[in-house]
Amino acid sequence: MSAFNSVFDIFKAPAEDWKTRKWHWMSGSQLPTDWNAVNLTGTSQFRMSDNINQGFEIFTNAVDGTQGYIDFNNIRHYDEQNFIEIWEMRTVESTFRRQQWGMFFDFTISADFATVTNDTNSTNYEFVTKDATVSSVADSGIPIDEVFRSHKIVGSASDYQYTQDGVLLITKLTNLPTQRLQPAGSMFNREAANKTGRWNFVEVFAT
Amino acid sequence: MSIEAVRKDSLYEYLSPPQKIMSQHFVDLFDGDILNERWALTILRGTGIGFMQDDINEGFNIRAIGTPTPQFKTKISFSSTRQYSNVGSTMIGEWRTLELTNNPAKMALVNISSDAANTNFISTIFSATFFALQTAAGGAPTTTFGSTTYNDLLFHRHELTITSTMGTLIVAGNLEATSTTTLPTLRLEPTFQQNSQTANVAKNMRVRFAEAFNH
Repeated sequence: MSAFNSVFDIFKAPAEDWKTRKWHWMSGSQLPTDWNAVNLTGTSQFRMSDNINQGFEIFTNAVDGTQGYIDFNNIRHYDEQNFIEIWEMRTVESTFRRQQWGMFFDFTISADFATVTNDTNSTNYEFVTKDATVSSVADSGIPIDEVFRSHKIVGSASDYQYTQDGVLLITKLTNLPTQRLQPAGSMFNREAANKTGRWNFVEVFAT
Repeated sequence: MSIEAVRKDSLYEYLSPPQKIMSQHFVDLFDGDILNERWALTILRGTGIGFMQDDINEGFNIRAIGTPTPQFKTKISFSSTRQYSNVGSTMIGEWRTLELTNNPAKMALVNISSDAANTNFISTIFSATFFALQTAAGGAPTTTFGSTTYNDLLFHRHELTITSTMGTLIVAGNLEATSTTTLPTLRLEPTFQQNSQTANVAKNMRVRFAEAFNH
């Protein structure tokens, strides 16, 4: 079998539509400008980690309640009923912090989203979704930790599925988003100490 | 054949056999906050703009508008960084137009992506009903119309290939046109360009995928 001629041909047949797809290897000197980095509360550093296999990090200042996030600045190319998002993330510190990633209508307001949290206020990883008005939490049963894991959300009209490290953990039927979405996530500290959330890879595509 | 049947360790290995150098290659996914820095947005004539479209699967919007007549032009290109061969390269793009009339929209590999009428290029251009292949070698272009009617506003995959003997246009997997005359003689850069032929009427194209590579 010879190689493919193009990246297009790897994923699609010539007569198929590409639709929208984004992948990001989180490598290089800095976060590219197609991402929007925001200090929601306090000040964080948005920087590449100068370590093997550690990707991009949000490093919060040592002030309780500091939160920084990245998103597409509310450019929402993804239909909430037809997308797949895959990413790898970890935290460095094991106490008093919350890392999250997922798909959001608008990270700064209480609007539609689907997100995975690695939160020291909870025992396990949680899958949280919100429709226009109501959110609900599904417990994955997998204890939170500080190692890179692969996460996957499949959004469809009938349900949202959450898979971790290749194992389907949750099929969620309630409080599913009802508006277009963008990828986004954050690091939040719960004490006056630096907290670090890292991401190695992010991919999202229309289905 | 599915990818599962030929799974490889790297993207490089999908694209290039071990005994072959991959050569120049780029992919742009037109997603995110703003246009990737590799592109330069240029208003050739008029007061056009470009922006990331905040809609599902709609990519980047290139708009031409201006006054008075005649033709207004807005493009994105690599700012005359011409890394693609005029005798062996391919460009793939998925784009659509938002208006059917007075709005030549095109995807091209060009040598001088300027307002000049005659330069070296190979392009696919929308003209109300058909897509046409154009090739030019510094003079007037040769235009070869495709045979499939495309008077719609849908995204289509375009594939332009230029070799030392032929230019080819494939749309949605179908061979639409070939050209063996006035083939470009100088190296090329990728370009998407929207024109408007009507004063004060905005014409738009949207791009959601682009890839180019040397053979």
